[in-house]
Amino acid sequence: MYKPGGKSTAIISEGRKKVHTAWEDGFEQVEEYDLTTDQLLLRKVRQEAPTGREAKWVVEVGEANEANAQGEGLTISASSDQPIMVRRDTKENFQWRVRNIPYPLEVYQITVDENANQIIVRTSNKKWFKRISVPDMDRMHLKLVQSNVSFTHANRTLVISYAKPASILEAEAARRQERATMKCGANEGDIDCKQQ
Amino acid sequence: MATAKVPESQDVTRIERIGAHSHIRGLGLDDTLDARVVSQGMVGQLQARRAAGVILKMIQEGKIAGRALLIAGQPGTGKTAIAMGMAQALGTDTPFTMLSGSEIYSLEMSRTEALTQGFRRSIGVRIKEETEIIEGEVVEIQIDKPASGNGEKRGKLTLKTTEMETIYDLGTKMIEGLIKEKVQAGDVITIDKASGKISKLGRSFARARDYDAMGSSTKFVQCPEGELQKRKEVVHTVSLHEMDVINSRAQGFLALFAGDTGEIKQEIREQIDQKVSEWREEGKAEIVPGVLFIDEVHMLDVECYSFLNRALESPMAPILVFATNRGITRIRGTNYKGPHGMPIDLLDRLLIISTQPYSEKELAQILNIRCEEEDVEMTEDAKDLLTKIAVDASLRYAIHMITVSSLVCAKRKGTEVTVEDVKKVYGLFSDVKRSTQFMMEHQNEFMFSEITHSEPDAPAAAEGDAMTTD
Repeated sequence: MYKPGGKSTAIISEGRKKVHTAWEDGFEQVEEYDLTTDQLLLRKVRQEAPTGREAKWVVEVGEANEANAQGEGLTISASSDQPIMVRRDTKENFQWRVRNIPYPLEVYQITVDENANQIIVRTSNKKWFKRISVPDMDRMHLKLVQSNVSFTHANRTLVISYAKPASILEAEAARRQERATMKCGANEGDIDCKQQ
Repeated sequence: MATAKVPESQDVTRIERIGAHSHIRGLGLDDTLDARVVSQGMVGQLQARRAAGVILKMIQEGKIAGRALLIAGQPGTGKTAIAMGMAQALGTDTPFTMLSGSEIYSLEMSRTEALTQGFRRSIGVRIKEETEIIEGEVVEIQIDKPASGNGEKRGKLTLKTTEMETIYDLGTKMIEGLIKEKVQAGDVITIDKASGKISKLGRSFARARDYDAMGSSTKFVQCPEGELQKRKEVVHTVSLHEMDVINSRAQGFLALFAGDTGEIKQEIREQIDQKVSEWREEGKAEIVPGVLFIDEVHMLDVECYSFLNRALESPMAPILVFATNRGITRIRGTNYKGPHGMPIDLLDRLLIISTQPYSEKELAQILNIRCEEEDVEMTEDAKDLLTKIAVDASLRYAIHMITVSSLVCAKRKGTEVTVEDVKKVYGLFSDVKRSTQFMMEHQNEFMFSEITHSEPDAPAAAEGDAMTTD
């Protein structure tokens, strides 16, 4: 959960349990869990923009599958053959998958920047660089530790894992419990559209 | 995340027109607010400048929102110059709206609406926002035009930092922007992802060795570090009027470019005010009271004055600065006379600064500054003559003569304007006094003088005000 408080509502659709939480100050969060595995598939947050125009969702976990999510007014976007990073957690690990990255394993240097509390991915051929922050850890004021980082590379994909610390695992277990008992607007299957 | 402004785009070829007040860069005050005799393009008017400086200080401290100032003085004594100086000294961050008294008369909107818009244009709201920008050095830019000639252009842009490199696909709008900015390999640029605005920061140091065709204005910068896409906190100031316009139309912010704003409903204004005060409480926005300058304020009529009386008292009012060159004259819209052509009740709410006619020495200095501004070389004798003309005729006439006599000088292929050039121009163009004199003598030879004055009832004197010179 982002911060204490907020009002949560949940629905089940397309095999996902979708939880929407809104806070008083205009902050919103949507989480989507797989119904069978209870894996977190998507989490996005947004803060109401001050100028009154529509705020954009920031995807923290998973991929935004909205139409035209990448185009953004068709002005500029990274080419489709460029590396793209997606976060997809497992039960024990925070995990990031970098697709479209063909360089061999020895190219990557992955370190933890303790000052910024971020994971830094470097490539020795200077082709890709990324600072990864873990909002889950920041929210609980936890420090990242180098020894928890591991990574592999296969099929043009770099997989970076960070083992979740005990306190995160506990908090997630508690929330899983909470979710299981949460009332859902169960609109699985056909939604009855009333004809006028 | 750095708190920084998105750098202003650097214009490569800057051509600025030389206007009547383009030499003014500020009020020319020192730290204790005392006016220096000649500074920042300002000459003389020590009292008035000092007074304006005190007001300026109060504005900067946010103390006098909702009060008004009147600069009164004879034509050509630097009233507009003082207002311009105030605008310059306030900087670009404080909204400064300039209006001429006659601008509010329009068939499309009422006078009070025009004044309200002026008021709201002069109040800024400073908003902090996070935006996503792409910052990097251009490695390669490739734009393909379709073979058929029409159809969409496609393009690719390769950008790099010290750590990474990425290829971007470009949309048509972005391609146009890149062509317009003349972006080429080796430039360091930032692109605001949301608005698509491109700014050139300079050329990369790595390219400092290719000297070909580079202006002296070329700036060299380091290749950026870290990720190409960054989130930056930017601060921007919008005026209340802009927010009104955005919210009064269905098409959103595009309404700003549509021109014709028409009248804005009072309800919308109230909504905006409420929203802004909410943001203010939450610390999201900050209000910057600006300055509304109304030149030739005697052109307003009695309705406007009564509107101003009330509007000055609203909590959202900016600082008003009026200027007038009138003495006791008829208040427009009435048959009463008032000092400066304004009703007493409004005058009572104003702080009045008066400007004095310039001394001969000051006139010489102003002419000197204008010569420099207009890039005209002039002999000392010619300058003395011009000063004398400025004393006898008017300062404006003398200033006009600078450019004209430099043209005369160029015609005879001289490099320095001499007394002869000035004399020639003096012979070619007459000033107000000589022209008036001529009229007095020869007016019977002009048109419509066939009927002699002996006739009892000549048509009533022309309604309204005569042409003004300030």
